[in-house]
Amino acid sequence: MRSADVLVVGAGVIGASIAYNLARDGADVLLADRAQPPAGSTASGSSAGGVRQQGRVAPEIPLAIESIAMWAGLADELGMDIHYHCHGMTFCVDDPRLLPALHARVARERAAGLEIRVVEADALRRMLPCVSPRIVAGSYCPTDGHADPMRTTRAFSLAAERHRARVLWDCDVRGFRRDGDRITGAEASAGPLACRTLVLTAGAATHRIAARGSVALPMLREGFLQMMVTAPCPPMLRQVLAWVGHGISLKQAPSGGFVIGGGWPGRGDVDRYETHLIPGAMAKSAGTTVNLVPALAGVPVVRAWIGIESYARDE
Amino acid sequence: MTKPDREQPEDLVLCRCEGVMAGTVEDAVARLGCRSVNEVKKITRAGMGPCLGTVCLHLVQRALADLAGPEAAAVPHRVRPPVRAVPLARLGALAEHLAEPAGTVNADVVWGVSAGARGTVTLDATNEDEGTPRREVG
Repeated sequence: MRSADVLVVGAGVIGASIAYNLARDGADVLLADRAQPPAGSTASGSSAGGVRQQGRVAPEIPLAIESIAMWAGLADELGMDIHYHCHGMTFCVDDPRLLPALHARVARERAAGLEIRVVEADALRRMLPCVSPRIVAGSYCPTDGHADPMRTTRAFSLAAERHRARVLWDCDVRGFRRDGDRITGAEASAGPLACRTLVLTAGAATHRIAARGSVALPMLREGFLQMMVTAPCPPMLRQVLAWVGHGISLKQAPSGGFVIGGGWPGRGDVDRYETHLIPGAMAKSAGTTVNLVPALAGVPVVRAWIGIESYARDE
Repeated sequence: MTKPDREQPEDLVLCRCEGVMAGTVEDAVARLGCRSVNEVKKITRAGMGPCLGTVCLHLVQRALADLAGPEAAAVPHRVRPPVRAVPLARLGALAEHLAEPAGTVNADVVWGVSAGARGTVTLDATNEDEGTPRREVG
């Protein structure tokens, strides 16, 4: 039977980075994923790729700030270009009634140690000339940014392997092995796996795998989130944009294409890892993009897809 | 493993839309372990451009056949909609003709709208403010 000190189930960006960090510190690590690299990441492989500190719940902000220091050296540390760009992010607001809430959030986040400020009117226009005149203000965090999610995820699992972590692809974990209250391993399609510690980082499958091991996790629900990307455009936007209340995030990838995210819904089936686009949501997302950056009206969408996320009860 | 004879040198542009070199695709298969056209696409961006892969993906399949075997080359390309490129404004204009998506937008971008709470945007077909999801802070 294969055995390890630590078994990590799920080689998405979280599982792969945990496996890498533990292996680098000398732990004996086995990383298992139901699929193949780099597609062995249902959520990480379909993410819009934002690397964001602002707009998070309070307990996450110090962690997010600390992570930015790690991101800065990550490409060198992992030995792969992960297309990390740290040029800031602005949450835009078009409705003056939302300004008090914007100022209050920025004040809270500054108090938590984040470098962030409100930018209004002409200053906003100078900073973001491509943004629609309907935008009246924004919260600008200069150290937010974006990265390529597929490359980042694969960079972590490759680096884990260089530190002698073993990786099992095409390995579907079906349940836990138990000795009384203790979890001693997993039952997997590759055979039984023994471990002293099990790390479950399986995204939307997390609570399903846990339930098969008779462990109830307080997961609330899944979200099927739609994203789109456009044909390449000349450089126009270095920051990441979001529009408060309109369900959009927008960034220009190094290839020149605009990645449109923000949470418009798709449909899907988590057990079958199936996803389906909703044309109405694509249309709404496209229209919102043009309302935010009018110059993109004639730019074609070349691809749309869905990512599956799951949310715990405390979000 | 000896490298098979190849017609195209490594510095040949394999995907013209995204400017991906043949050598980059070979590296994705040989070193990074990609085992299907879909995985090569995700890592290298070959096939992600405006031609939607119609020009280059058969060349990726050939590299897979040479470097990873016929099984890898036989994995079908997972085609992403739309089947042809559609300008954003034209797609946006279709909203009034298409059914409203049911459910909520899990917009991380509306986090922090109020008191650190996570906002939820509900899509509402009767919303008079055209193209704007109704905002609920929850």
